[in-house]
Amino acid sequence: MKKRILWIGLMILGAVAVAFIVNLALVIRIPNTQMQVTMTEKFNFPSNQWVFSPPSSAASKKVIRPSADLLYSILCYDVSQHPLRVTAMLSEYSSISGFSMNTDNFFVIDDNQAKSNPIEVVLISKGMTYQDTTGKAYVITAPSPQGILMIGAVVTSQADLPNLAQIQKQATAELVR
Amino acid sequence: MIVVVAGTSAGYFTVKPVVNLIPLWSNVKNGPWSTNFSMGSTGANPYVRAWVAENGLMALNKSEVIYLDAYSDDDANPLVSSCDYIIQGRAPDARWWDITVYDQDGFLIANDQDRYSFSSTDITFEPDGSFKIHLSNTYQQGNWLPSGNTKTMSIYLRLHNPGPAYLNARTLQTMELPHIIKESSQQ
Repeated sequence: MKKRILWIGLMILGAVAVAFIVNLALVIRIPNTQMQVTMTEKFNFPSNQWVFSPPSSAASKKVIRPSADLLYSILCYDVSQHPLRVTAMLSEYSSISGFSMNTDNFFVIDDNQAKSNPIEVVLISKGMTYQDTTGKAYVITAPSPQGILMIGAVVTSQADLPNLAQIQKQATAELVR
Repeated sequence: MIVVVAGTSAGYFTVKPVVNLIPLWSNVKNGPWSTNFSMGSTGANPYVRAWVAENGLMALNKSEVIYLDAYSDDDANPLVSSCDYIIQGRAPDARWWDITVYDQDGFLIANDQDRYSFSSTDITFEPDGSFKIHLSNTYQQGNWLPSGNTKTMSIYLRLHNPGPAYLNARTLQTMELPHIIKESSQQ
């Protein structure tokens, strides 16, 4: 009888251990899968090019909880082969940020922090080196070779919208070969 | 064999509940508002990352933006569009802030005014410096946030470049945040 209880106990413990491992393994995959789906299916933007998005509305269904007060430009980066140099004019209350495939926001620089405007960022992947000769660029190592860069600017009034859009559309991106 | 099958099934079917529950344990709460300081941060655990992936992709880290969400009113009742609410308080200490309402799926609520939020730069303040937002599916005078025709709602308070007191869990828990008060029920 004691032996039987012990066996049942061991089986339950084993099932719990397997459940925990399976659960964690699946949970760890969620961010990467979601980022992949967002980049390739929802956005489907060409790599390493800024894509300007109109202000979010009730029709915006690509990303959950979009901000209706921000104007976004998105860039799906791929720095697996070459560094990527981007420049962006930062209007008041705006920032440029990067997201790796595990969803981490690995950098964000806002208009108050930027050492120059337009800001210059050179994104490199792990193991790459890049010598910034201008002293103006932020050289940032991306935790994953693919991911997303975002420029977000607060729309303080609808009247400012055309001007903000114009500023954001001046953002550039080029691979450094 | 039974152990492996049972464990695998349990592990698979508990993914969604676990992702929705575990980050809550580390949330900072204040009335109906809550936030997770590790959202978007490189120090987030796998469950917080999974939650962010499914509920708020491209969340910035807390030094840039703090995202406070509310799914209920001050009395802990779920937010529903069949009720009218007042969101009232004082301007939070942040460089810029906004209050946005979302439907049960986390999307902006369709309305004829295309009004989804109020921000520190477009809200009308009361003479005493406080603000009052009417969350209702019928026209209201003043700062009216249409709640449309959705089941449950959530409210997001975004604080861009928040003041230092918001960056500390202990002080955030005791700070005065906007109240969400149910005014009337239409049912």
